Amino acid sequence: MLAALAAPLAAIAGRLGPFEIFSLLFAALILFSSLGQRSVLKGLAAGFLGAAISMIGAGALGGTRLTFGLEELEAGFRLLPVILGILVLGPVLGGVIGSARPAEKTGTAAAAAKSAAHSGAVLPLISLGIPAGGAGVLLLGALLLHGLAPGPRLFRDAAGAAYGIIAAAPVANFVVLAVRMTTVPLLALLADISRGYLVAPIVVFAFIGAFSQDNRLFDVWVMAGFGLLAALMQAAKAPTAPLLIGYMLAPMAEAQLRAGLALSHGTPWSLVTRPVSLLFLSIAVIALAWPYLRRRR
Amino acid sequence: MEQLSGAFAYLFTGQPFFVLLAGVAAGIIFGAAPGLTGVMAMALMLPITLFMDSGIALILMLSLYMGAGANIGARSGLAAWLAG
Repeated sequence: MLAALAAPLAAIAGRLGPFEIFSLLFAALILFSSLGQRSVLKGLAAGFLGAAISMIGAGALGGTRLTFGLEELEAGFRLLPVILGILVLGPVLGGVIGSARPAEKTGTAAAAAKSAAHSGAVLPLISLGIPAGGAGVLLLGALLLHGLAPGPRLFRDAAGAAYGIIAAAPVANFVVLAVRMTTVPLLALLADISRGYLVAPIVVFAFIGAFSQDNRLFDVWVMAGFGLLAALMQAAKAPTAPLLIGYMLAPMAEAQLRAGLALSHGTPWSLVTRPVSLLFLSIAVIALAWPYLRRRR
Repeated sequence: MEQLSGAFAYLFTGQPFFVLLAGVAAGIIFGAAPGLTGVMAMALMLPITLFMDSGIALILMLSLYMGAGANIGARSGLAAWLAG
């Protein structure tokens, strides 16, 4: 099903103009920041904070902004240290801060839903360029770091990679099934290892990883800073995934908006007069209004 | 469809399949160990994928992702894939 849907979906997405894609990315940012969060406001704040941080450095039309005179910031924060900070260092630090907190328990229904979302996350990513959840963000990160544009263009520019992902998903799933069935007792042993033995080497690898891309110590500080930010957000019960999603989607959305405005000679009204764009924006507005409408009833 | 069968054929050659196996294994370990998550495994491997061919890198990311997620039920995951 995944394989059958991805190519046609990408073909439809390929026909969308820049305004439509901007609205789609905007709606995606709103949806991922607000849906399924305990606090819609905290989710949105995290998403928009990520978007704001992505504005640092070179703009879509040249020129640099918000670098505060720091030479290192002229290309913005590198993606790799930001990802490592938020997703590796953040949870580790957060674990230290809130170590007494009990682990989340997932029921079978939740597990099935999570697993379905797991496979489903690949489809919107490769056909539309929208990451669903933390793992989707990392697949997007891998694409971006390799200079591949996700979304409709992937099927044209890097067909091998796009179809490779689609083919690898079911094969990996079969392998997982086979390995899991044979190694259950071994995996049970893993669960008894003390957290500290596992976490310490992970932190070391994160530091090496952040440094290795360009051999800049600045990137290590960036990772440490984002790790601290993520840990503080976790302590404040704010979700960190929207921070990263906002950071990655905002530059894509901005490029589309700029392209659209260049075509329309600077008037933004096409955003609401073009029906498909209006549809995506309406979805965003409804997603925002929904919790309040429901509460009133 | 032709490209898809080509992708499957590529997947079952030496290096891609080895990467897939290694990725799934690492993903399962990260998923099962306390304090570690599959997303962490992917983030940590991201710097290393910079030195890989993009096709191989994506297969590795995807297999880590699948391996780690499998700890919440590979069977339902498979069902979900078959269903859509």
